[in-house]
Amino acid sequence: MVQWDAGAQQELLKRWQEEMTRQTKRVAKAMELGLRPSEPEVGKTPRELIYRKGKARLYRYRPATDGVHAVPLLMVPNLGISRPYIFDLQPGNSFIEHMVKQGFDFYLLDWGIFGEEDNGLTVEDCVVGILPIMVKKLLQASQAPAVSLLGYCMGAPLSACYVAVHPESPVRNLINMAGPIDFEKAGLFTTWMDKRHFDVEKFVDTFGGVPADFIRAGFKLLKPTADLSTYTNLWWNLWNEGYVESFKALNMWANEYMPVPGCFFKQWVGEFYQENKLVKGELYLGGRRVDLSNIHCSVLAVGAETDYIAPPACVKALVDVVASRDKEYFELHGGHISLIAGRQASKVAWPEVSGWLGPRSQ
Amino acid sequence: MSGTLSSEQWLEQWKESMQRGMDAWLAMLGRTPQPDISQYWMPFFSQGMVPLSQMMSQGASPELLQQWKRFLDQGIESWAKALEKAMATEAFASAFGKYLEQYLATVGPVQKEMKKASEAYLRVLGLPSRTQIAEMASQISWVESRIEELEEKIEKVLDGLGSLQAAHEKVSTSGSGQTS
Repeated sequence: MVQWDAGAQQELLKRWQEEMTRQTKRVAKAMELGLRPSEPEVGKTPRELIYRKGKARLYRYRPATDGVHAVPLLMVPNLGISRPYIFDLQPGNSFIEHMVKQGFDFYLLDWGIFGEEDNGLTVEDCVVGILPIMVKKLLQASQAPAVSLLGYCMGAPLSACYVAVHPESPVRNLINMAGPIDFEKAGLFTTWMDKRHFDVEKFVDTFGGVPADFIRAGFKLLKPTADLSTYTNLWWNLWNEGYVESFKALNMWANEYMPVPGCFFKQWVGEFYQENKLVKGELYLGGRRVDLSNIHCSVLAVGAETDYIAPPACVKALVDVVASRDKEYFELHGGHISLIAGRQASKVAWPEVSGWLGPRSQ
Repeated sequence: MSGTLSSEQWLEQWKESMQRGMDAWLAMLGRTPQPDISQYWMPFFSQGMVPLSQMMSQGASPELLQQWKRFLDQGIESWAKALEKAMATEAFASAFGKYLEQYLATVGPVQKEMKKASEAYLRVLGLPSRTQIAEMASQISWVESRIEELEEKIEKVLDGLGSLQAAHEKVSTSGSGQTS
């Protein structure tokens, strides 16, 4: 038998007591989640609708400070796939809330929820149709002379295309957060969607668009163990009220997949993933060549070390191809989502972005 | 803490604690508004703590749970890495592509037939089909974009008129100034 002195025994008991208290809370919280499931409230930062075009909406989030940056910011998220409320998840865990508290006049482009009637939407429609009108309406609403663009995920290459084909547009800064630019380096999706294995034409001809269930299956397949880790971590942290609340909101978002319009998907997979035309300068949109070396504004690219949707190398490519003199690349710990939601995002990623953008928005 | 409990005594205490916990639960379920559940589980676990502490004080450490969690995380991570490695191969991509192709070959015709059948059925009932609704939505969307274009043009015309008016006023002002 092991001999213990009184002090060590007390300490051990204390630690056991703490562990058991946590265990108690875990069981109680698990019961509560099972018996009283509640839908978390998301997207609470006040906003106003500025403009709508088709399914797309432009929302304005006014700055929450006296000192306001002169150059407003337009956030361009991914199209389809997931809902944009991830950017304004919950008070204290919201990228938008952070930015307005830093004095940014923040605008969010919500592409909308697509249906069968939108299957004809193309990348051109987004880059030379929707984006220019949104920028115009933003400039009218804000009375500002220039704008900064922040593209997240798929929104980043779309924003880069917009800036490249509209050199006359008053874009002061361009930020790429976890957006693929060099699609040859875009990891598993590049391998799986290689034209030798994936017939995108046939896929779209069969389904018309990309159903939400397919999007879900694709993303789940990228990391099959993700759900296991998620629920193990949930069990481990069930005693922590704050963790559970954030989990509920994030989990709701992570399981709410959205369809992608057929023509857009065909062009996205064919020209971006399979041909890698964007970085090669071979992409044409609305009759104009998309030449990323036409980009002269300040550029920031932010990659995440373990991002398996847009690995760092494919994100960083933006700073290598633009002509801007003021350009920077940050690489942060974590995965694709940890740039935009969660503790890592609020402690590291968002301050990095606002810290970079603030002095360039005067 | 003096002496050690036999396993029977320990189990007996545990059963008593369980009973207290269950009673607390039953009492709670009858109440509204429902109070903090964890408050009811606290006494239950506190009761269980005494014999458990005695057992653990003989050598077991609470770090065991943390070690188990670390072990589990490492297990999941190495499994994820192995899967990722396998899924990044050409062989996987090819197999996945073939599976998808077979799926499309099977699902495609079935889906087309089902669509035809459901459209025919809806036609008999005098109801619009999904395709017809989607077509109507496209038409509305087209009308909406035409209105937007017209709005744009009106805006441009108004801007032009505004500048003309401003120029006209400027000319009139300078003209009247010269006259006087």
